Amino acid sequence: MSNISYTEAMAEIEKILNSLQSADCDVELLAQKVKRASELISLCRTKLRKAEQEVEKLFE
Amino acid sequence: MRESFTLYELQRIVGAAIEQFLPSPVWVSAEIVELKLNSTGHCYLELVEREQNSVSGSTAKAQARAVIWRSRYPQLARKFETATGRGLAAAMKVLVQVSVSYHPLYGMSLQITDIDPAYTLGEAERQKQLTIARLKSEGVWDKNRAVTVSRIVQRVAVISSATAAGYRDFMNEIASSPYRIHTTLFEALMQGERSGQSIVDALNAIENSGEEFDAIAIIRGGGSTSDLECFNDYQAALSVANAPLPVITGIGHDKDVSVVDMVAAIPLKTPTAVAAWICATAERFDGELEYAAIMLRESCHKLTQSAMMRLEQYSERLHTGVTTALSRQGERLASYAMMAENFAPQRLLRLGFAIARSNNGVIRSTDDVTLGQRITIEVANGSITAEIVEKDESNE
Repeated sequence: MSNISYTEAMAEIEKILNSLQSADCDVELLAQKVKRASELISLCRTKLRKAEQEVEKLFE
Repeated sequence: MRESFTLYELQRIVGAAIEQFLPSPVWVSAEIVELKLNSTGHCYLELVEREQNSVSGSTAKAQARAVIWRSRYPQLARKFETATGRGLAAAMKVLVQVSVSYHPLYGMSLQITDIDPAYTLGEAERQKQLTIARLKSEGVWDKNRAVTVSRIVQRVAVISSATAAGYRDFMNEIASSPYRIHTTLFEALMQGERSGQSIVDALNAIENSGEEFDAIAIIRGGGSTSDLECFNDYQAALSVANAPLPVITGIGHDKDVSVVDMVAAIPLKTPTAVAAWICATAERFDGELEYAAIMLRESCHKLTQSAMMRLEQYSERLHTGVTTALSRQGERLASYAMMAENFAPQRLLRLGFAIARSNNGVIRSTDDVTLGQRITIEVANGSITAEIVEKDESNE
């Protein structure tokens, strides 16, 4: 999971969000998909905060 | 024996002839080749008239010794310097009033009794215009101005004289800057007749030094504001125009712009102004860096902000997405349930339909029963037992 790049993670989140909007969304996979998307979102947040901190440090 | 003169007698005759034909002083134009002020206060000069020659440039066509006696010299020198801003010196073209004398022992000599500074000024100006025209016709006039000036001038080759006030001013200004500017002095004579060649030599020395420079600064040496003739020298101006680095001048005069100033990429008034200009390039560059850092930081911030916002949007969309997906499925289930309900048997019985059964199960055909057979009929609230009394197969 942590090996996934930010861009890949964002692409996967977008894919899941789109699939949620389609009519024939599989209910059994729903929880699994939401879990995956939530994990990816928090992974991206972590990556982003880390990048922010690194950048700030460079300007100090 | 032939009639003859002694040498002395002959010289006396020549002297008398000169005195007869040139009884009073005359004005003569000539160029000073050499000028010596001796300890007794007399000024001895060597005058020449040149002839332009296509091979060697110019050759002397006439030459004569001249003197300004101690009694006249201070007055003439002052008059000349006040008018021209320069002291009498070699290579100058002058118009002088002379009385011609002839001495049996020393030959012909010219005693200078007056001088016309306007002639020298005019000659210098004429020479300057010729130099300008020549540089233009040779296509080098704009050459140094076309050289790219680097954004920051940090390594400077300085042409000046180490002991000069102007050089000190320049170095003081450089030292007062918070930026480190590297200067290398290439010494040159900044006044006098050999100063033109000296500047040429210094420019060559810079080129041959193998050092890397961003610009060349020509800082005038002396404290006297008079002798600037070398900056109108053709060779000096040509070398400046051809210099591969931008030349900055701080010759320090306000009366007249020299030819060297005209061809230099950045002509400035004083040595201090040159130093200030150099420091300003560093300051400007520093400012640009500062601004770039601010812009970089700002765009980084914007970038992470918008990425964070997008993540928040996704998180929200995920939440609403899953809620709507679930409720959509719920609605679908509810409609299926209703459909199922519609076809439930109890509902059909309530509507008046009934289900007839024999021992063999649900009766679907007249063939399933025989006359007199007992059957059960299921209705909404219970069942009825009946007997078959007639069969009508007309529906077939």
